[in-house]
Order: sequence, then structure tokens, then C-alpha cells
Amino acid sequence: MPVYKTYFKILRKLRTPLLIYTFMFIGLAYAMTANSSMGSEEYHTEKINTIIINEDGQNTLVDGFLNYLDQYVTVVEPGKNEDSIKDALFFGEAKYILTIPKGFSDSFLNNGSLKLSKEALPDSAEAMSLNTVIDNYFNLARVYLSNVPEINYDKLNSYIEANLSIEAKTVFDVEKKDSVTNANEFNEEYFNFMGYVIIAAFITGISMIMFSFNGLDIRRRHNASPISYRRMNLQLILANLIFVFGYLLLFILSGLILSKSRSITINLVLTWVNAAVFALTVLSVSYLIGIAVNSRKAIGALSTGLSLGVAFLSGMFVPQEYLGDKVLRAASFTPAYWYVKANHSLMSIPSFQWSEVSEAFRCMAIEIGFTIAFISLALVVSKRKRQQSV
Amino acid sequence: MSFYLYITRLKCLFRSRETMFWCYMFPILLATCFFFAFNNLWKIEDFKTITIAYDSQGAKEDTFGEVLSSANMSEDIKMFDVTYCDQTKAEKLLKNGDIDAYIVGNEKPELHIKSNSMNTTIAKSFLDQYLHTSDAVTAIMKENPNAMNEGLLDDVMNNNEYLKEVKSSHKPQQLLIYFYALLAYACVFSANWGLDEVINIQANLSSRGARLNVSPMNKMKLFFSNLMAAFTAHMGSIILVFLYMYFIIKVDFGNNLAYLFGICILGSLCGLALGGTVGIWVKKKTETKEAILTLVVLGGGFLSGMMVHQIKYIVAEKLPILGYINPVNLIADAMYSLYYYDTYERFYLDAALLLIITAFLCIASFVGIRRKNYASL
Repeated sequence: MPVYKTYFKILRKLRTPLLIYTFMFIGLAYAMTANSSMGSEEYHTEKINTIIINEDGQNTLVDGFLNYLDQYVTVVEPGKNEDSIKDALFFGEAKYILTIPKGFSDSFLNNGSLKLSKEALPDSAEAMSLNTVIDNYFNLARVYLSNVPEINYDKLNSYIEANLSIEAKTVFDVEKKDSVTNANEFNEEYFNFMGYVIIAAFITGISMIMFSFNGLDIRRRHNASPISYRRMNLQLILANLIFVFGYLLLFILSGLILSKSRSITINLVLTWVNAAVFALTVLSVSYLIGIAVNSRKAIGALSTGLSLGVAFLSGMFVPQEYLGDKVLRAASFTPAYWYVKANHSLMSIPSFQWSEVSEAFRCMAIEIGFTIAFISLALVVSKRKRQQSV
Repeated sequence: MSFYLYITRLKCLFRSRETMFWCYMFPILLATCFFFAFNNLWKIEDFKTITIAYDSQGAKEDTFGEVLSSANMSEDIKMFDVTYCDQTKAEKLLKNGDIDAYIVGNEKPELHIKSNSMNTTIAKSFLDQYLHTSDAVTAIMKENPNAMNEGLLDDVMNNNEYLKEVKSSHKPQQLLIYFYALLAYACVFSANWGLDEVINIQANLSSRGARLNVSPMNKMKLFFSNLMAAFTAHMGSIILVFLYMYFIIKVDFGNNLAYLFGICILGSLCGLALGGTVGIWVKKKTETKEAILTLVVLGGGFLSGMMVHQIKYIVAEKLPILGYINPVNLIADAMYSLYYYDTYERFYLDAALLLIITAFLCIASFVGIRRKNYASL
């Protein structure tokens, strides 16, 4: 099988970019695993990163307030200078900067007008939530001060501390995060990001090889050779499939190794099927590019541009729920959108149910539709090129 | 003659499709991707009224229900959008994701959630505050039985504000860091053009260089004409990327566009000088020199927040020296300071450091390329 052997000889020359994509992906997947948790989830307060600048010094009121605030905020140490504090807010290191001005306690206890200062992202949920929490504390303190006769600061703090010991009961309903949910979250992220690597690697690999086989002189050389077009195409198809499924198998195995749960569920197997269907779609696109584009440099540019563009638009990097409606509508004209959608519908259900996975099968059918369309286009281009080379 | 050389080189550059793609199209493509992918990501942090369901379990006097429906997050934003129903329906709504949480019971309300989020935290702290206030009223009544007559309820209902907002001239927008870093990366990307010009002029690096060295043309004159052409073509790409970001994506670059252009010009010159220096002083194959430049420019983009915006902050806090010697970061930081800061000190510092780096690289290139003769070609 000379064509088959030549295919892999050319592929060996492309090993550097392919290895870069592979290691980059596995490295990032490893980072994802390191950050994922496998424990079951309990209720916890989403604490807000806050820089607290206390210019009023230590006193009973401020100490009591800071003690109360501790259950709602994670205190971020202010930087070396004013720029560092502003930068922390801009880059999201701190979501809220609270300044207790000098003389605030005296002013509060004497019904003065001095207020705390805050800097935060306007309209952010965190900032609004913390505003309420802070106002509530001082309103509660004010109610005590004006209604309990002969109250002193220590007594005020003990009243408030007693109040704070009372908490509303929180019940985790419907679905509590367990190891299956955690594994599904990892797998969804892993397979979505894998979609980008598949596009970039396949266009780099397959398109370049197809380009090598489709030069005018090479085609004329084939015409004069004893190997028929049919045999040559069969060998190319076989080589392409071996490359595609070999590459896919590597990623599926690395996903299994990196996943903390390492359990194989029907949903996960269906995700592999979805990845295989998508790989075939990308194979057909890469084949089309390889025979239609006339320059190696153009294939390099297409590999980078197409993979990044499609990955950003279809939700491979950022979940689809965060993309705008118009973006999603545009993305629905790409197979990548349906691939990500299928992954999401398979991984958002804790266990296999036919009624719930039908959506995933619909997405896979659309991906197959794209594959047929690309193959048809490739056949037309291929026939025209064959006619040119005679 | 110099003008003729300049125009000829400019034509050569514009006819290179690959160069045109990477300089003119790629930053625009990336900017579009950033815009579509990240634009909504920060908007979700804005507070939206929390959807909850409430089952009072048939209570006749439902004080909690009233407090719940009248709670406001700010003057014009309601805290909760309440659906009144029984627990079974509330469970269904929660399961389908139609509500963030539901509350059962009015005296000791219980919060039911399906995952932790900012909204569930807000709902939980609201319930806690309600219980704290109820408990405070009980405690006060114990100490002062006359408190009700003395206006305790008015005191409880009357909520004062104890915070004042420090207004900043520009809202922090992390998304901008991606665009600033991208434009800065596009500026320093001229390093590849600088490298090309050196390869084209050096007889030991290309056959075209060898051909030029035997021609009567003054090598320095040709080199500067070519560099000027590269600078012009590259600035064309920067202006195009800027116009695209400014008018189509509507990136906020602050109010001082003259300073912004100044830093872009300096960045482009710095990139050309960087490419020239690597081309002249690194005695390796062209591919190796290209790899070094990719590492410096793309790595510089990464450290400036082009891939992950927090990286810029981490570098500035943990290893500031790395930020000061990275031209991409200096340009991105200058743009950031023009947008976010009311004064120009930080911009001047960035510009001065970039100027020093550019001057150093220019001198290094000049020293390396001048009076070079070849015994044999």
C-alpha cells in the first residue's frame, strides 16, 4: 500500500505542531482536573473578596462590625500603594473596597452623618449584596442603641453576637452535587475543549497531507501510475480514519486517566460517540480544505483562524449559556455548536434516560448532515481537479 | 532614490498574503472572538432580581411574605420576584431551573436550593437578617417593655444607608485587558517584519542579501528605506485594528487618543528594533530566530493578560520587573492607565521604559549591522 505508507511518512514530518497541540491540550486538561473537586457539596456562603481600610482604628463598634463582616467577606490585603488597590478592583482580585473613615464610630454613636466609603463594580450582585449586609448591621445596632436604655458598646456587641448565632435553615433540594455530577462537569469541559484541538490538529495534519497528494504534478504522476484512483482513494480513506481514530483514542484514554472518578457511564460512552461523529465532520472539512486550497501557508492560517474562531463562537472555550443569542444563532451554522450542545445535554443529566438523551442524538444527526454536505462539496472539487489534471 | 526604494519595498510587503493575514486579519479575528466570547461573561455579574417561590404554609398573618415582596436591592431594583405556590410546585420550579430557590414557612423560614451561587447567598442572608431583626425585637422588648410605644417598629422599618460610593471616572472592565493586550501584541508583532528586513539585507542570511551586497546601493540607506516601509505597512495594520476595535466593537480606550497613538508608534518601532536585534545578534537558523521572536512576543502577550487577564495583575504584584522589561506589557499597561487613571504618571513611566528599551535595541541593531564586509560571497 504505497499511498498509505506515504501518508504516514508525510504525517511524521508534521509531528511537531501535532505534538504541541496534544501536549498543550493534555496540560490544560490536567490543570482542569487539579482545580475540580470530587466531594459532595454543602451550603456555603459565597464570600466576597474585599479590601478593608480601617482609618478609625480599633474600638468596640468597629471590632464588632469587622467580626460580623467576616462571615460574608474574604479579606484581601491592600497592596503597597493606592495604584495596587485600584488595580485589585479592576482585575477582580477584590470586588469591594470598604473604607472606615476616621471618626466614624463617634459619628455613628452620636447620630452623626459620617458614612463608610465603598468602591465596587456598579450594579454587581456582590456589591449590592454586601451593601445590604453592611447597612443591616448598622441599622440593627441603631435599633438597639435607641431602644435599650443605658446600653454600652460591650452590651451592644453581645446583643448582636447573640442575634448572629441564629441562622435560617438551608436545605439542598432536588440534586445534590455528587461524584457523578462532578465527573460530568469535568468531562463536559474536557470534551468541549477537545473539539478545538481536533479542529486545529486535523486541519494542520490532514489538510497538509491532502494538499501534498493534490498538487497538479503529483496528480499527473498518479494518472500515469498503475494504481487506480479508486485504490488510491481507499488507501487515503483508510489512512485518514486510522489517524483520526488513533488521535481520538489517545484523547479519550487521557480523559479517562485524568478524570478523578474514572467511571465509565452510558452518558460518557455517548460522549465518545459524539466526539467520533464530530471527528468525522472535521475530517471531511480538513479533506475539503486540503484539496481546495492552493497554498501551504493558507492552510496554516486557516488552521489557526478557523479553529480559534469556531471554538470561541460555538462555546468550546466559554460555556454556551454565556454567549449572546445572536452569537449562538450564527454558531448554529457550524457543526461545532451542535457538538458542544450534545456534550452539554449528555453531561447535564446525572444518569442515562432515553427521554433526556434524545436531544443529543438530534445534535449528532445534524453533525452527520454537515459531514455529508462537506463530503459532497469535496467530491465536486475533487472531480473538477481530476478533470484539470488530464 | 530613497523614496523609490521605500515604495518598492512597500509593494513587496503588501503582496505577501501571509504577512497580510497575520498582521491585518489575525488581530481582527481574535478581537472578534474575544468580543463574542467574553462580552456577556462580565454582564452576568450584574445583579438581576432573584426569582424565588414562597410557600407560607397557610399562615394567616404573613409578615415575612410582606417583607419578602417589598425587599429592594437598591432604589429601583427589587430583590425578589416571588411566585406564591405550594411546596410541590416550588420543587418542580426549582428542578426545572425556573427559580433560584424557594422558601417554606413564615415564622422560621427554610431556604431550599439546588446549588450554591451568589443569588442563593443573597437569599440566605436576607432570611438571616429577617431572623436577626425578629430576635432583636424580642430581646429589646425584654429589656424595655415600653419600646413598642416608644417607636420600636418605626425604628425597625426605617432603614438608613451607611455607605457612600466613591465614584471612579471609569468603570473597571476586565474585558478591556484582553483588547489592550491584543493591540499591544499587534504592535510588537512588527518584530517579525524587523527580522525579515535584516534577513533581506544580510549577505550571510539570504541570497537576496548577497545580491544587495554586490550592488552599488548604500546598504544602510536601503536598510532604513526598507525599515520605514515595514513601519508604514505595520502601522497601517495597527490603525485598522484600532478602528475596528473603536468603532465596531466599541472598546473604550479612554479620552486621550493622541497618547494612545503615541504609545502604538513607539511599540511598533520597539518591535522592529527587537526583530532586527534578534536577526543580527542570534547566530542561528532563521527558524530559530522566528521561534525566539514568537516566544518573546506571544509570551509577552500572555504575561500582559491576552489569554488570562489576571496574569497581568499577578505579574505586577509578584514579579514587577518582568512587567517592566516586557514591551507588550508596557504598551498594554500604558493603554490601561490612560483608561483607568485620572493622572498620567503611570503612562509616562511605561512610555519612558518602552523608549529606553527601543533605544537600546536600535543601538544594538545599528552596532551589529554597520560596516559589515564579507571576504567571499
